[in-house]
Amino acid sequence: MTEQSGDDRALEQVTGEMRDAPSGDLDWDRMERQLMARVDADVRETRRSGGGRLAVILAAAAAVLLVVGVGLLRGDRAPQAGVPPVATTASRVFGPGQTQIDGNQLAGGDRVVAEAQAVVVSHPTRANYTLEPSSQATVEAVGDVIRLRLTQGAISAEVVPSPKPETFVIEVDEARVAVHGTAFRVVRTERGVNVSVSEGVVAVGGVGQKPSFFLRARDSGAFAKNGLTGEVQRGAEAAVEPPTVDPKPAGSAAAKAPAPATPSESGVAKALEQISASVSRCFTQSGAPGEVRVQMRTQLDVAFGADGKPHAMTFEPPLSPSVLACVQSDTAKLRFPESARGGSAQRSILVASE
Amino acid sequence: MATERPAQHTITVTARTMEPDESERLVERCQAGDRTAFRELFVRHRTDVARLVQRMTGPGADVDDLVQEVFFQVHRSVKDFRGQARFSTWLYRVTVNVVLMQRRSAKSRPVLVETPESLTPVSSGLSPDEDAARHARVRAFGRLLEQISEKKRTVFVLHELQGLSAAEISEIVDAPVLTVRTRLFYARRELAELLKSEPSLAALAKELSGTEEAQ
Repeated sequence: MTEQSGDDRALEQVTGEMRDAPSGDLDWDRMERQLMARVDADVRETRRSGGGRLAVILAAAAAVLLVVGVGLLRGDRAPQAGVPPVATTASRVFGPGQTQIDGNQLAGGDRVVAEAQAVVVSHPTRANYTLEPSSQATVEAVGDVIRLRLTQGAISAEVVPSPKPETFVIEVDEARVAVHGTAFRVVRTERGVNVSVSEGVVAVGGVGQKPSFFLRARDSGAFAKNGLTGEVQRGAEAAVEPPTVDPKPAGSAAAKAPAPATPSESGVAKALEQISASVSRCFTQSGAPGEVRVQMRTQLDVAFGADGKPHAMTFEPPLSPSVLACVQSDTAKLRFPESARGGSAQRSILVASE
Repeated sequence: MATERPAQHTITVTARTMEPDESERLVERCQAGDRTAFRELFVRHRTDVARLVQRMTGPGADVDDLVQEVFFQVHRSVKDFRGQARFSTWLYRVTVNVVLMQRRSAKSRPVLVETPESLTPVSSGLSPDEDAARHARVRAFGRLLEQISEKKRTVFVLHELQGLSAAEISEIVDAPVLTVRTRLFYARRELAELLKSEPSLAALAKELSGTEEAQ
Protein backbone atom coordinates (compact mmCIF):
# COMPACT_ATOMS: atom_id res chain seq x y z
CA MET A 1 0.00 0.00 0.00
CA THR A 2 2.83 2.34 0.95
CA GLU A 3 4.60 1.55 -2.30
CA GLN A 4 1.47 2.38 -4.29
CA SER A 5 1.17 5.64 -2.49
CA GLY A 6 4.79 6.45 -3.27
CA ASP A 7 4.13 5.74 -6.96
CA ASP A 8 1.13 8.04 -6.95
CA ARG A 9 3.08 10.81 -5.30
CA ALA A 10 5.99 10.32 -7.67
CA LEU A 11 3.57 10.48 -10.61
CA GLU A 12 2.09 13.69 -9.27
CA GLN A 13 5.50 15.24 -8.79
CA VAL A 14 6.96 14.31 -12.16
CA THR A 15 3.75 15.42 -13.88
CA GLY A 16 4.22 18.79 -12.25
CA GLU A 17 7.85 18.89 -13.32
CA MET A 18 6.92 18.16 -16.89
CA ARG A 19 4.13 20.75 -16.74
CA ASP A 20 6.64 23.35 -15.60
CA ALA A 21 9.28 22.42 -18.15
CA PRO A 22 9.57 25.32 -20.58
CA SER A 23 9.04 24.90 -24.27
CA GLY A 24 12.13 24.35 -26.34
CA ASP A 25 13.40 27.24 -28.39
CA LEU A 26 11.52 27.63 -31.63
CA ASP A 27 12.37 30.01 -34.42
CA TRP A 28 9.06 31.83 -34.48
CA ASP A 29 10.09 34.33 -37.14
CA ARG A 30 11.15 31.61 -39.53
CA MET A 31 8.00 29.64 -38.82
CA GLU A 32 5.82 32.68 -39.40
CA ARG A 33 7.51 33.46 -42.72
CA GLN A 34 7.08 29.88 -43.92
CA LEU A 35 3.51 29.67 -42.70
CA MET A 36 2.42 32.91 -44.32
CA ALA A 37 4.13 31.87 -47.57
CA ARG A 38 2.20 28.58 -47.52
CA VAL A 39 -1.04 30.36 -46.74
CA ASP A 40 -0.55 32.85 -49.56
CA ALA A 41 0.33 30.08 -52.02
CA ASP A 42 -2.72 28.12 -50.90
CA VAL A 43 -5.00 31.09 -51.39
CA ARG A 44 -3.58 31.64 -54.88
CA GLU A 45 -3.97 27.95 -55.72
CA THR A 46 -7.55 27.87 -54.47
CA ARG A 47 -8.47 30.87 -56.58
CA ARG A 48 -6.74 29.42 -59.62
CA SER A 49 -8.24 25.91 -59.32
CA GLY A 50 -11.68 27.33 -58.53
CA GLY A 51 -11.71 29.28 -61.76
CA GLY A 52 -9.80 26.73 -63.74
CA ARG A 53 -11.91 23.73 -62.84
CA LEU A 54 -15.03 25.06 -64.56
CA ALA A 55 -13.04 25.73 -67.68
CA VAL A 56 -11.55 22.25 -67.64
CA ILE A 57 -14.97 20.68 -67.15
CA LEU A 58 -16.52 22.60 -70.03
CA ALA A 59 -13.59 21.99 -72.33
CA ALA A 60 -13.48 18.30 -71.60
CA ALA A 61 -17.15 17.41 -71.59
CA ALA A 62 -16.92 15.65 -74.93
CA ALA A 63 -13.59 14.11 -74.09
CA VAL A 64 -15.07 12.42 -71.03
CA LEU A 65 -17.58 10.59 -73.16
CA LEU A 66 -14.82 9.58 -75.50
CA VAL A 67 -12.58 8.31 -72.71
CA VAL A 68 -15.43 6.38 -71.07
CA GLY A 69 -16.30 4.82 -74.36
CA VAL A 70 -12.74 3.80 -75.06
CA GLY A 71 -12.44 2.38 -71.55
CA LEU A 72 -15.53 0.26 -72.01
CA LEU A 73 -14.33 -1.00 -75.36
CA ARG A 74 -11.02 -1.96 -73.77
CA GLY A 75 -12.89 -3.71 -70.98
CA ASP A 76 -10.55 -2.04 -68.58
CA ARG A 77 -12.00 0.21 -65.93
CA ALA A 78 -8.65 1.47 -64.78
CA PRO A 79 -5.80 2.91 -66.75
CA GLN A 80 -2.53 1.05 -66.35
CA ALA A 81 0.24 2.40 -64.23
CA GLY A 82 2.64 4.40 -66.29
CA VAL A 83 -0.03 5.97 -68.47
CA PRO A 84 0.70 9.69 -68.51
CA PRO A 85 -1.86 12.06 -67.01
CA VAL A 86 -4.82 12.75 -69.28
CA ALA A 87 -4.96 16.49 -68.94
CA THR A 88 -7.80 16.90 -71.38
CA THR A 89 -10.40 15.14 -69.28
CA ALA A 90 -12.43 16.56 -66.42
CA SER A 91 -10.95 13.95 -64.10
CA ARG A 92 -7.53 15.27 -63.27
CA VAL A 93 -4.72 12.87 -62.53
CA PHE A 94 -2.55 13.25 -59.44
CA GLY A 95 0.33 11.16 -58.32
CA PRO A 96 2.85 10.33 -61.01
CA GLY A 97 6.01 12.09 -59.89
CA GLN A 98 4.46 13.11 -56.57
CA THR A 99 4.76 11.35 -53.23
CA GLN A 100 2.56 13.72 -51.21
CA ILE A 101 -0.81 15.12 -52.23
CA ASP A 102 -2.95 17.52 -50.27
CA GLY A 103 -6.39 15.89 -50.23
CA ASN A 104 -8.02 19.31 -50.18
CA GLN A 105 -6.94 19.74 -53.80
CA LEU A 106 -8.88 16.67 -54.89
CA ALA A 107 -12.41 16.67 -56.21
CA GLY A 108 -14.84 13.97 -57.24
CA GLY A 109 -13.68 12.31 -60.44
CA ASP A 110 -9.98 12.94 -59.90
CA ARG A 111 -7.63 10.01 -60.18
CA VAL A 112 -4.64 9.26 -58.02
CA VAL A 113 -1.93 7.13 -59.56
CA ALA A 114 1.08 5.62 -57.79
CA GLU A 115 3.75 4.26 -60.07
CA ALA A 116 7.13 3.16 -58.68
CA GLN A 117 6.65 5.09 -55.46
CA ALA A 118 3.77 5.17 -53.01
CA VAL A 119 1.64 8.30 -52.94
CA VAL A 120 0.41 9.67 -49.62
CA VAL A 121 -2.80 11.71 -49.70
CA SER A 122 -3.52 13.81 -46.62
CA HIS A 123 -6.90 15.14 -45.63
CA PRO A 124 -5.64 16.91 -42.51
CA THR A 125 -7.65 16.31 -39.36
CA ARG A 126 -9.66 13.65 -41.19
CA ALA A 127 -7.63 10.93 -42.86
CA ASN A 128 -4.34 9.97 -44.49
CA TYR A 129 -4.19 7.27 -47.06
CA THR A 130 -1.29 5.75 -48.92
CA LEU A 131 -1.72 4.45 -52.41
CA GLU A 132 0.89 1.74 -52.62
CA PRO A 133 3.23 1.43 -55.62
CA SER A 134 1.54 0.38 -58.88
CA SER A 135 -1.89 1.30 -57.55
CA GLN A 136 -4.66 3.54 -58.82
CA ALA A 137 -7.79 4.99 -57.29
CA THR A 138 -10.55 7.31 -58.36
CA VAL A 139 -11.88 9.91 -55.97
CA GLU A 140 -15.65 9.49 -55.85
CA ALA A 141 -16.38 12.08 -53.18
CA VAL A 142 -14.52 14.32 -50.75
CA GLY A 143 -17.38 15.90 -48.81
CA ASP A 144 -18.51 14.65 -45.41
CA VAL A 145 -17.49 11.22 -46.59
CA ILE A 146 -14.24 10.56 -48.40
CA ARG A 147 -15.09 7.88 -50.93
CA LEU A 148 -12.53 6.22 -53.19
CA ARG A 149 -12.74 3.54 -55.80
CA LEU A 150 -9.65 1.34 -55.83
CA THR A 151 -9.11 0.30 -59.41
CA GLN A 152 -5.70 -1.29 -59.01
CA GLY A 153 -3.31 -2.26 -56.23
CA ALA A 154 -3.66 -1.44 -52.54
CA ILE A 155 -4.49 1.38 -50.17
CA SER A 156 -3.51 1.75 -46.53
CA ALA A 157 -5.55 4.30 -44.63
CA GLU A 158 -5.58 5.97 -41.24
CA VAL A 159 -8.83 7.67 -40.38
CA VAL A 160 -9.38 10.01 -37.46
CA PRO A 161 -12.24 8.74 -35.28
CA SER A 162 -15.47 10.65 -35.77
CA PRO A 163 -18.95 10.34 -34.28
CA LYS A 164 -20.34 10.58 -37.80
CA PRO A 165 -21.07 7.23 -39.42
CA GLU A 166 -18.78 6.12 -42.22
CA THR A 167 -16.43 8.97 -42.85
CA PHE A 168 -14.18 6.99 -45.17
CA VAL A 169 -15.22 4.44 -47.78
CA ILE A 170 -13.22 2.42 -50.28
CA GLU A 171 -15.07 0.62 -53.04
CA VAL A 172 -13.55 -2.22 -55.03
CA ASP A 173 -15.74 -3.47 -57.86
CA GLU A 174 -19.05 -4.07 -56.10
CA ALA A 175 -17.50 -4.44 -52.65
CA ARG A 176 -17.60 -1.63 -50.14
CA VAL A 177 -15.28 -1.13 -47.17
CA ALA A 178 -16.48 1.54 -44.75
CA VAL A 179 -14.92 2.83 -41.56
CA HIS A 180 -15.42 5.27 -38.74
CA GLY A 181 -11.97 5.87 -37.30
CA THR A 182 -9.35 3.27 -37.86
CA ALA A 183 -6.18 2.16 -39.58
CA PHE A 184 -6.53 -0.50 -42.22
CA ARG A 185 -5.33 -1.76 -45.59
CA VAL A 186 -7.35 -2.74 -48.63
CA VAL A 187 -5.84 -4.75 -51.47
CA ARG A 188 -7.54 -5.37 -54.79
CA THR A 189 -6.92 -8.95 -55.86
CA GLU A 190 -7.84 -11.09 -58.84
CA ARG A 191 -10.72 -12.60 -56.92
CA GLY A 192 -11.93 -9.56 -55.01
CA VAL A 193 -10.58 -7.61 -52.12
CA ASN A 194 -8.41 -8.28 -49.07
CA VAL A 195 -8.82 -6.15 -45.96
CA SER A 196 -6.65 -6.05 -42.87
CA VAL A 197 -7.43 -3.86 -39.87
CA SER A 198 -4.87 -2.40 -37.49
CA GLU A 199 -7.19 -0.29 -35.36
CA GLY A 200 -10.90 0.33 -35.00
CA VAL A 201 -13.76 -1.34 -36.82
CA VAL A 202 -14.29 -1.79 -40.55
CA ALA A 203 -17.51 -2.86 -42.24
CA VAL A 204 -17.39 -4.83 -45.48
CA GLY A 205 -20.37 -5.44 -47.71
CA GLY A 206 -21.83 -4.89 -51.13
CA VAL A 207 -22.17 -1.42 -52.62
CA GLY A 208 -25.61 -0.10 -51.68
CA GLN A 209 -26.21 -2.90 -49.21
CA LYS A 210 -25.90 -3.30 -45.49
CA PRO A 211 -22.54 -4.60 -44.22
CA SER A 212 -21.98 -8.32 -44.38
CA PHE A 213 -18.87 -8.44 -42.21
CA PHE A 214 -17.35 -6.42 -39.41
CA LEU A 215 -13.61 -6.58 -38.89
CA ARG A 216 -11.95 -5.39 -35.73
CA ALA A 217 -8.34 -4.62 -34.86
CA ARG A 218 -5.98 -7.41 -35.92
CA ASP A 219 -8.64 -9.07 -38.08
CA SER A 220 -8.13 -9.67 -41.76
CA GLY A 221 -10.35 -11.05 -44.46
CA ALA A 222 -10.59 -11.98 -48.12
CA PHE A 223 -13.85 -11.07 -49.83
CA ALA A 224 -15.48 -11.60 -53.18
CA LYS A 225 -15.81 -8.75 -55.67
CA ASN A 226 -19.39 -8.16 -54.57
CA GLY A 227 -18.36 -7.95 -50.88
CA LEU A 228 -21.13 -10.34 -49.90
CA THR A 229 -19.08 -13.45 -49.32
CA GLY A 230 -15.67 -14.00 -47.86
CA GLU A 231 -13.64 -15.32 -45.01
CA VAL A 232 -12.48 -13.46 -41.92
CA GLN A 233 -9.41 -14.37 -39.93
CA ARG A 234 -9.98 -13.17 -36.42
CA GLY A 235 -7.10 -11.65 -34.48
CA ALA A 236 -6.93 -11.75 -30.70
CA GLU A 237 -10.44 -12.35 -29.40
CA ALA A 238 -11.94 -9.78 -27.04
CA ALA A 239 -11.51 -11.45 -23.71
CA VAL A 240 -12.16 -10.69 -20.12
CA GLU A 241 -9.00 -9.03 -18.90
CA PRO A 242 -7.31 -10.30 -15.80
CA PRO A 243 -8.36 -8.26 -12.82
CA THR A 244 -6.43 -5.11 -12.28
CA VAL A 245 -5.62 -3.16 -9.19
CA ASP A 246 -8.31 -0.79 -8.05
CA PRO A 247 -6.57 2.07 -6.29
CA LYS A 248 -9.64 2.85 -4.24
CA PRO A 249 -11.14 -0.41 -3.02
CA ALA A 250 -14.44 0.00 -1.25
CA GLY A 251 -13.93 0.18 2.47
CA SER A 252 -17.04 -1.87 3.20
CA ALA A 253 -15.73 -4.83 1.25
CA ALA A 254 -12.90 -5.33 3.70
CA ALA A 255 -15.27 -5.87 6.60
CA LYS A 256 -17.15 -8.71 4.89
CA ALA A 257 -16.04 -12.28 4.44
CA PRO A 258 -12.93 -12.30 2.27
CA ALA A 259 -13.86 -11.93 -1.38
CA PRO A 260 -12.19 -14.13 -3.98
CA ALA A 261 -8.97 -12.75 -5.39
CA THR A 262 -10.46 -12.48 -8.85
CA PRO A 263 -14.05 -12.01 -9.94
CA SER A 264 -15.73 -15.17 -11.20
CA GLU A 265 -15.66 -15.39 -14.97
CA SER A 266 -19.25 -16.55 -15.17
CA GLY A 267 -20.34 -13.62 -13.04
CA VAL A 268 -18.47 -11.18 -15.26
CA ALA A 269 -19.95 -12.76 -18.39
CA LYS A 270 -23.43 -12.50 -16.92
CA ALA A 271 -22.99 -8.80 -16.11
CA LEU A 272 -21.63 -8.14 -19.61
CA GLU A 273 -24.62 -9.94 -21.05
CA GLN A 274 -26.95 -7.65 -19.11
CA ILE A 275 -25.17 -4.58 -20.47
CA SER A 276 -25.35 -5.98 -24.02
CA ALA A 277 -29.07 -6.60 -23.62
CA SER A 278 -29.56 -3.08 -22.32
CA VAL A 279 -27.64 -1.56 -25.25
CA SER A 280 -29.70 -3.60 -27.67
CA ARG A 281 -32.98 -2.59 -26.05
CA CYS A 282 -32.07 1.09 -25.84
CA PHE A 283 -30.77 1.14 -29.41
CA THR A 284 -33.96 -0.43 -30.72
CA GLN A 285 -36.07 1.97 -28.69
CA SER A 286 -34.23 5.02 -29.96
CA GLY A 287 -34.54 4.18 -33.65
CA ALA A 288 -37.16 5.85 -35.80
CA PRO A 289 -39.56 3.38 -37.42
CA GLY A 290 -38.72 2.74 -41.03
CA GLU A 291 -37.74 0.20 -43.58
CA VAL A 292 -34.03 0.65 -43.12
CA ARG A 293 -32.48 -1.81 -40.72
CA VAL A 294 -29.61 -0.15 -38.89
CA GLN A 295 -26.79 -2.23 -37.48
CA MET A 296 -24.13 -0.99 -35.10
CA ARG A 297 -21.12 -2.50 -33.39
CA THR A 298 -19.50 -0.90 -30.39
CA GLN A 299 -16.71 -1.93 -28.08
CA LEU A 300 -17.65 -1.90 -24.40
CA ASP A 301 -14.91 -1.27 -21.86
CA VAL A 302 -16.02 -1.44 -18.24
CA ALA A 303 -14.08 -1.13 -15.00
CA PHE A 304 -15.54 -2.16 -11.67
CA GLY A 305 -14.45 -1.98 -8.07
CA ALA A 306 -13.98 -4.60 -5.39
CA ASP A 307 -17.66 -4.33 -4.50
CA GLY A 308 -18.57 -5.10 -8.12
CA LYS A 309 -19.96 -1.64 -8.77
CA PRO A 310 -19.02 -0.35 -12.24
CA HIS A 311 -17.21 2.95 -11.93
CA ALA A 312 -16.51 3.53 -15.60
CA MET A 313 -18.21 2.24 -18.68
CA THR A 314 -17.18 3.37 -22.15
CA PHE A 315 -18.32 2.55 -25.65
CA GLU A 316 -16.15 3.00 -28.72
CA PRO A 317 -17.52 4.22 -31.10
CA PRO A 318 -19.60 6.14 -28.60
CA LEU A 319 -23.34 5.62 -28.24
CA SER A 320 -25.62 8.52 -28.97
CA PRO A 321 -26.44 10.56 -25.86
CA SER A 322 -30.01 9.25 -25.69
CA VAL A 323 -28.95 5.61 -25.97
CA LEU A 324 -26.16 6.15 -23.45
CA ALA A 325 -28.54 7.74 -20.97
CA CYS A 326 -30.95 4.83 -21.41
CA VAL A 327 -28.16 2.28 -20.83
CA GLN A 328 -26.91 4.14 -17.78
CA SER A 329 -30.39 4.14 -16.33
CA ASP A 330 -30.85 0.45 -17.15
CA THR A 331 -27.62 -0.59 -15.54
CA ALA A 332 -27.63 1.70 -12.53
CA LYS A 333 -28.04 -1.24 -10.17
CA LEU A 334 -25.88 -3.66 -12.12
CA ARG A 335 -23.12 -5.33 -10.12
CA PHE A 336 -20.18 -7.44 -11.19
CA PRO A 337 -18.98 -10.19 -8.86
CA GLU A 338 -17.20 -9.02 -5.75
CA SER A 339 -13.50 -9.67 -5.59
CA ALA A 340 -10.45 -8.50 -3.71
CA ARG A 341 -9.37 -5.98 -6.30
CA GLY A 342 -12.18 -5.44 -8.74
CA GLY A 343 -11.33 -5.64 -12.41
CA SER A 344 -12.18 -4.66 -15.93
CA ALA A 345 -13.76 -6.36 -18.90
CA GLN A 346 -14.42 -5.73 -22.57
CA ARG A 347 -16.98 -6.95 -25.02
CA SER A 348 -17.86 -6.20 -28.60
CA ILE A 349 -21.58 -5.59 -28.90
CA LEU A 350 -23.49 -5.84 -32.17
CA VAL A 351 -27.04 -4.50 -32.18
CA ALA A 352 -29.58 -3.97 -34.92
CA SER A 353 -32.81 -2.03 -35.18
CA GLU A 354 -36.02 -3.96 -35.65
CA MET B 1 24.03 12.66 -1.58
CA ALA B 2 21.07 14.29 0.08
CA THR B 3 19.30 16.85 -2.02
CA GLU B 4 16.30 18.88 -1.12
CA ARG B 5 13.17 17.63 -2.80
CA PRO B 6 11.31 20.29 -4.76
CA ALA B 7 7.89 21.30 -3.57
CA GLN B 8 4.85 19.58 -5.04
CA HIS B 9 3.41 21.47 -7.97
CA THR B 10 -0.26 22.30 -7.89
CA ILE B 11 -0.34 24.94 -10.59
CA THR B 12 -3.05 24.64 -13.19
CA VAL B 13 -2.02 25.85 -16.60
CA THR B 14 -4.60 28.03 -18.22
CA ALA B 15 -5.07 27.16 -21.85
CA ARG B 16 -6.32 30.47 -23.11
CA THR B 17 -4.07 33.41 -23.58
CA MET B 18 -6.62 35.94 -24.70
CA GLU B 19 -10.17 36.99 -24.06
CA PRO B 20 -12.83 34.99 -25.93
CA ASP B 21 -14.30 38.11 -27.48
CA GLU B 22 -10.94 39.03 -28.91
CA SER B 23 -10.50 35.56 -30.39
CA GLU B 24 -13.94 35.66 -31.92
CA ARG B 25 -13.30 39.02 -33.50
CA LEU B 26 -10.07 37.78 -34.99
CA VAL B 27 -11.75 34.61 -36.23
CA GLU B 28 -14.47 36.65 -37.90
CA ARG B 29 -11.86 38.77 -39.62
CA CYS B 30 -10.00 35.62 -40.69
CA GLN B 31 -13.19 34.23 -42.14
CA ALA B 32 -13.52 37.41 -44.15
CA GLY B 33 -10.04 36.80 -45.58
CA ASP B 34 -8.10 39.18 -43.36
CA ARG B 35 -4.50 37.99 -43.52
CA THR B 36 -3.40 40.26 -40.68
CA ALA B 37 -6.01 38.79 -38.36
CA PHE B 38 -4.77 35.29 -39.11
CA ARG B 39 -1.23 36.35 -38.35
CA GLU B 40 -2.45 37.84 -35.09
CA LEU B 41 -4.15 34.56 -34.15
CA PHE B 42 -0.94 32.72 -34.91
CA VAL B 43 1.15 35.02 -32.76
CA ARG B 44 -1.28 34.85 -29.86
CA HIS B 45 -1.82 31.10 -29.82
CA ARG B 46 1.42 29.66 -31.14
CA THR B 47 3.01 29.13 -27.73
CA ASP B 48 0.04 27.14 -26.43
CA VAL B 49 -0.06 25.06 -29.58
CA ALA B 50 3.70 24.42 -29.46
CA ARG B 51 3.48 23.34 -25.84
CA LEU B 52 0.68 20.88 -26.60
CA VAL B 53 2.51 19.55 -29.65
CA GLN B 54 5.69 19.01 -27.63
CA ARG B 55 3.87 17.23 -24.87
CA MET B 56 1.96 15.00 -27.24
CA THR B 57 4.84 14.09 -29.48
CA GLY B 58 7.70 13.57 -27.08
CA PRO B 59 11.33 13.52 -28.12
CA GLY B 60 12.36 13.57 -31.71
CA ALA B 61 9.33 15.26 -33.20
CA ASP B 62 9.66 18.16 -35.54
CA VAL B 63 7.68 20.61 -33.46
CA ASP B 64 8.25 23.52 -35.85
CA ASP B 65 6.69 21.66 -38.73
CA LEU B 66 3.75 20.44 -36.71
CA VAL B 67 2.94 23.85 -35.28
CA GLN B 68 3.13 25.30 -38.76
CA GLU B 69 0.85 22.54 -40.06
CA VAL B 70 -1.68 23.19 -37.30
CA PHE B 71 -1.98 26.85 -38.22
CA PHE B 72 -2.05 26.05 -41.91
CA GLN B 73 -5.03 23.80 -41.26
CA VAL B 74 -6.59 26.49 -39.09
CA HIS B 75 -6.35 28.89 -42.00
CA ARG B 76 -8.00 26.38 -44.30
CA SER B 77 -10.75 25.38 -41.91
CA VAL B 78 -11.49 28.61 -40.10
CA LYS B 79 -14.33 29.33 -42.50
CA ASP B 80 -16.09 26.26 -41.07
CA PHE B 81 -15.71 27.43 -37.48
CA ARG B 82 -19.17 28.47 -36.35
CA GLY B 83 -18.45 29.17 -32.71
CA GLN B 84 -20.07 25.96 -31.44
CA ALA B 85 -17.09 25.65 -29.13
CA ARG B 86 -14.58 28.14 -27.84
CA PHE B 87 -11.89 28.96 -30.36
CA SER B 88 -9.20 27.57 -28.06
CA THR B 89 -11.07 24.25 -27.82
CA TRP B 90 -11.42 24.10 -31.59
CA LEU B 91 -7.75 25.00 -31.99
CA TYR B 92 -6.73 22.21 -29.61
CA ARG B 93 -8.89 19.82 -31.55
CA VAL B 94 -7.09 20.71 -34.78
CA THR B 95 -3.76 20.38 -32.96
CA VAL B 96 -4.59 16.96 -31.54
CA ASN B 97 -5.72 15.69 -34.95
CA VAL B 98 -2.63 16.98 -36.72
CA VAL B 99 -0.37 15.38 -34.11
CA LEU B 100 -2.22 12.07 -34.21
CA MET B 101 -2.03 11.94 -37.98
CA GLN B 102 1.68 12.68 -37.83
CA ARG B 103 2.27 10.01 -35.22
CA ARG B 104 0.37 7.42 -37.22
CA SER B 105 2.31 8.25 -40.34
CA ALA B 106 5.57 8.14 -38.43
CA LYS B 107 4.74 4.67 -37.12
CA SER B 108 5.17 3.26 -40.58
CA ARG B 109 8.49 4.98 -41.11
CA PRO B 110 11.74 3.58 -39.79
CA VAL B 111 13.46 5.53 -37.04
CA LEU B 112 17.06 6.03 -38.07
CA VAL B 113 18.51 8.18 -35.35
CA GLU B 114 17.61 9.22 -31.85
CA THR B 115 16.98 12.92 -31.85
CA PRO B 116 17.36 15.21 -28.89
CA GLU B 117 14.53 15.82 -26.47
CA SER B 118 12.23 18.68 -27.19
CA LEU B 119 11.43 19.47 -23.59
CA THR B 120 14.12 21.15 -21.59
CA PRO B 121 14.28 21.32 -17.82
CA VAL B 122 13.21 24.40 -16.00
CA SER B 123 16.02 26.42 -14.59
CA SER B 124 14.59 27.09 -11.18
CA GLY B 125 17.52 27.96 -9.02
CA LEU B 126 17.95 24.35 -7.90
CA SER B 127 21.38 22.89 -7.41
CA PRO B 128 23.00 21.55 -10.58
CA ASP B 129 22.57 18.00 -9.26
CA GLU B 130 18.90 18.45 -8.58
CA ASP B 131 18.43 20.26 -11.88
CA ALA B 132 20.02 17.34 -13.71
CA ALA B 133 17.93 14.85 -11.74
CA ARG B 134 14.77 16.72 -12.60
CA HIS B 135 15.79 16.83 -16.25
CA ALA B 136 16.35 13.08 -16.18
CA ARG B 137 12.94 12.51 -14.60
CA VAL B 138 11.15 14.65 -17.19
CA ARG B 139 12.86 12.77 -20.00
CA ALA B 140 12.06 9.44 -18.38
CA PHE B 141 8.44 10.46 -17.92
CA GLY B 142 8.29 11.42 -21.59
CA ARG B 143 9.36 7.88 -22.44
CA LEU B 144 6.64 6.46 -20.20
CA LEU B 145 4.01 8.57 -21.92
CA GLU B 146 5.10 6.98 -25.17
CA GLN B 147 4.23 3.58 -23.75
CA ILE B 148 0.57 4.15 -23.01
CA SER B 149 -2.08 4.12 -25.70
CA GLU B 150 -2.66 7.11 -27.94
CA LYS B 151 -6.11 7.78 -26.50
CA LYS B 152 -4.98 7.65 -22.90
CA ARG B 153 -1.90 9.74 -23.61
CA THR B 154 -3.97 12.42 -25.33
CA VAL B 155 -6.40 12.70 -22.45
CA PHE B 156 -3.63 12.67 -19.86
CA VAL B 157 -1.69 15.41 -21.63
CA LEU B 158 -4.74 17.59 -22.15
CA HIS B 159 -5.89 17.25 -18.56
CA GLU B 160 -2.76 16.96 -16.47
CA LEU B 161 -0.36 19.05 -18.53
CA GLN B 162 -2.59 21.50 -20.38
CA GLY B 163 -5.08 21.88 -17.53
CA LEU B 164 -8.22 21.33 -19.59
CA SER B 165 -11.44 20.08 -18.04
CA ALA B 166 -12.98 16.73 -18.89
CA ALA B 167 -15.82 18.56 -20.66
CA GLU B 168 -13.41 20.49 -22.88
CA ILE B 169 -11.42 17.34 -23.62
CA SER B 170 -14.65 15.59 -24.48
CA GLU B 171 -15.22 18.15 -27.26
CA ILE B 172 -11.64 17.90 -28.46
CA VAL B 173 -11.46 14.12 -28.74
CA ASP B 174 -15.11 13.56 -29.67
CA ALA B 175 -15.85 11.26 -26.80
CA PRO B 176 -18.30 11.38 -23.88
CA VAL B 177 -17.08 12.93 -20.65
CA LEU B 178 -17.37 9.54 -18.99
CA THR B 179 -15.03 8.07 -21.57
CA VAL B 180 -12.55 10.87 -20.99
CA ARG B 181 -12.60 10.22 -17.25
CA THR B 182 -12.15 6.51 -17.78
CA ARG B 183 -9.16 7.03 -20.05
CA LEU B 184 -7.67 9.42 -17.53
CA PHE B 185 -8.16 6.92 -14.74
CA TYR B 186 -6.41 4.17 -16.67
CA ALA B 187 -3.68 6.49 -17.90
CA ARG B 188 -2.78 7.46 -14.35
CA ARG B 189 -2.89 3.88 -13.19
CA GLU B 190 -0.70 2.64 -16.02
CA LEU B 191 1.79 5.45 -15.61
CA ALA B 192 2.05 4.86 -11.85
CA GLU B 193 2.76 1.21 -12.60
CA LEU B 194 5.28 2.06 -15.33
CA LEU B 195 7.28 4.31 -13.02
CA LYS B 196 9.08 1.21 -11.77
CA SER B 197 10.63 0.67 -15.17
CA GLU B 198 12.52 3.97 -15.10
CA PRO B 199 15.30 4.06 -12.50
CA SER B 200 15.09 7.80 -11.89
CA LEU B 201 11.34 7.62 -11.31
CA ALA B 202 11.50 4.42 -9.32
CA ALA B 203 14.04 6.13 -7.05
CA LEU B 204 11.73 9.09 -6.63
CA ALA B 205 8.81 6.81 -5.79
CA LYS B 206 10.94 4.98 -3.26
CA GLU B 207 12.09 8.23 -1.74
CA LEU B 208 8.52 9.46 -1.45
CA SER B 209 7.42 6.14 0.04
CA GLY B 210 10.14 6.50 2.62
CA THR B 211 9.00 10.00 3.39
CA GLU B 212 5.49 8.79 3.95
CA GLU B 213 6.63 5.95 6.20
CA ALA B 214 8.68 8.37 8.25
CA GLN B 215 5.62 10.55 8.72
